[in-house]
Amino acid sequence: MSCGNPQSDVKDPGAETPERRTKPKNKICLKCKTEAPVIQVRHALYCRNCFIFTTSGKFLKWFLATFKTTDIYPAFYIGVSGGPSSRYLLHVLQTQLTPRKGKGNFIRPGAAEKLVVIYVNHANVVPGAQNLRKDIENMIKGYPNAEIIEVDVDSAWKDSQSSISAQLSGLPGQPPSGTTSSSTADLFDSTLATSSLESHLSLLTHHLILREARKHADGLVGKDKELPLFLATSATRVTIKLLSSMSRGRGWSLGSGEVQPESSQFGMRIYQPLLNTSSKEIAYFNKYVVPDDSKPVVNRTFSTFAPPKSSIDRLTEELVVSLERGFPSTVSTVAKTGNKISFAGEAKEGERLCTLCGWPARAKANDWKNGIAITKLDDKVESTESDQPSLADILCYGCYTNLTDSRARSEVNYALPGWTNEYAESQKLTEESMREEIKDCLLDDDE
Amino acid sequence: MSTTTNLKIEFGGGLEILFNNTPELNVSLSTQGKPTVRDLIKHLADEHINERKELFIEGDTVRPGILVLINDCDWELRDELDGELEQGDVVVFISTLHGG
Repeated sequence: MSCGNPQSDVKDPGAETPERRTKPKNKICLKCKTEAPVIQVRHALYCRNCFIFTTSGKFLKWFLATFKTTDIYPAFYIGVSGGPSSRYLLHVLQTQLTPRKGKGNFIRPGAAEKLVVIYVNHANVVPGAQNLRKDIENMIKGYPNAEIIEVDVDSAWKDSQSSISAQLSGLPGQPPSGTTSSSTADLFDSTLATSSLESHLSLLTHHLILREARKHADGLVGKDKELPLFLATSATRVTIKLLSSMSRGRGWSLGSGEVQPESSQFGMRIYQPLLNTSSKEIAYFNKYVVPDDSKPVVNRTFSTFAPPKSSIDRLTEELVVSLERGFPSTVSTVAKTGNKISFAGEAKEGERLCTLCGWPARAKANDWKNGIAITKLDDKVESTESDQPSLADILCYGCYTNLTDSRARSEVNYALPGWTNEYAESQKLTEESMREEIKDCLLDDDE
Repeated sequence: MSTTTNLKIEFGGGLEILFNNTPELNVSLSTQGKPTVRDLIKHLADEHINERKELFIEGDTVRPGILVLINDCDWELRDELDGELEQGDVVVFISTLHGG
């Protein structure tokens, strides 16, 4: 093995071994059998037209299998960051919904009366990030019945003066100090690790999209009916998410929806139709099909220009793209494996939802954490004497680990988003309604 | 005998940030014989990136996650690094990496 020193005489014996790549033997398009190929997807070669047809056809096939032809929805919601995957999803979704004459009008238009694009602006939180509202307006300008809802990450803290926030700030019964925006800044300023920053931002973005979609849907169909929300997670991205989520301690809830093609959360039916489409297919499709004046825009993230070891997500991304280049079919295999993971927690005791991320949380995350962490005896004595419910009692292990990764360490000094209180209340209601259902079977203490 | 080949280079997927926010470049490559993609990558890394070259180049190739198209054709179908470039070719580099 190499010692890592480039000047060393000791070399890694595997370093000089060339990548094992299988070259396709045929030099014609797999589909039309006549044209010269221009793209290789895994081990298949396509000409330009067949590639476009096959890629959009993959979405169409999924769409027709998922939505009944008789259903007409008041709106389809779609989370758009402006990046390649969401630009691609926006294009194929709009293409299917826009009435056109002639070839290419694959399905009847009107599955949804309008398309609502939800964009979460990161410019206030991520250094160097731009507000992409104008770029996204440009992306939908040609489409009828499309509207944009823009929301700032800061707005997660609206109505955040909840008992949970106060409790987490270490001041029971008092609202957290600071304004809405300073709470956001506090959260991101006091988080040290890039992994946690990325995790906070991803979680806030997901929930803001959900909540804005639900708020809009309430006005259209009332509170009881689910409407479709589309998210543009690609096969490459879901593979990264699957591996990094497990690394962050989110394995318990993986089968519940984060990496699934369909799930329900916060009254929205979430669809992730690109879980079988690689980032390479998306990039080529955008290059070939999307007009030059509305190409995807890549915004800065916390790890832009950062070395691979700067965060769990970055390092996982490095692993996955290397795997994709060396062994092209492996990433789609991992992504498909993610689809098969099912949640096994229903039969367990103490099942509950995390009040921050909303996914199932394993009971007693703190016990688990204490079991694998080195703690001082003093801290342990202090924590057992406290009457307050601990963070671990209301959060999942992943959120708990992220939140406690701050300068304060032993005390979380910032408020949590407003929805935490709402989730906690809804869980109480669920427990009460369950008790109501089985009340005839319960024995009173007096009996 | 040295020949000069003029090429048009385009960047996408955020890669333009590495090249001083320049989405397009015109490059003249002087080589013995026809230049290859390997020559172009080395030229771009040496002459057009001021810092963080490692985000573009790894060894003598582009980093995993960066796609290359030569005249709208996947470079994997054109011998990748050994693919020869012609006068006036358009070479596109697209990053699929969020962090880079």
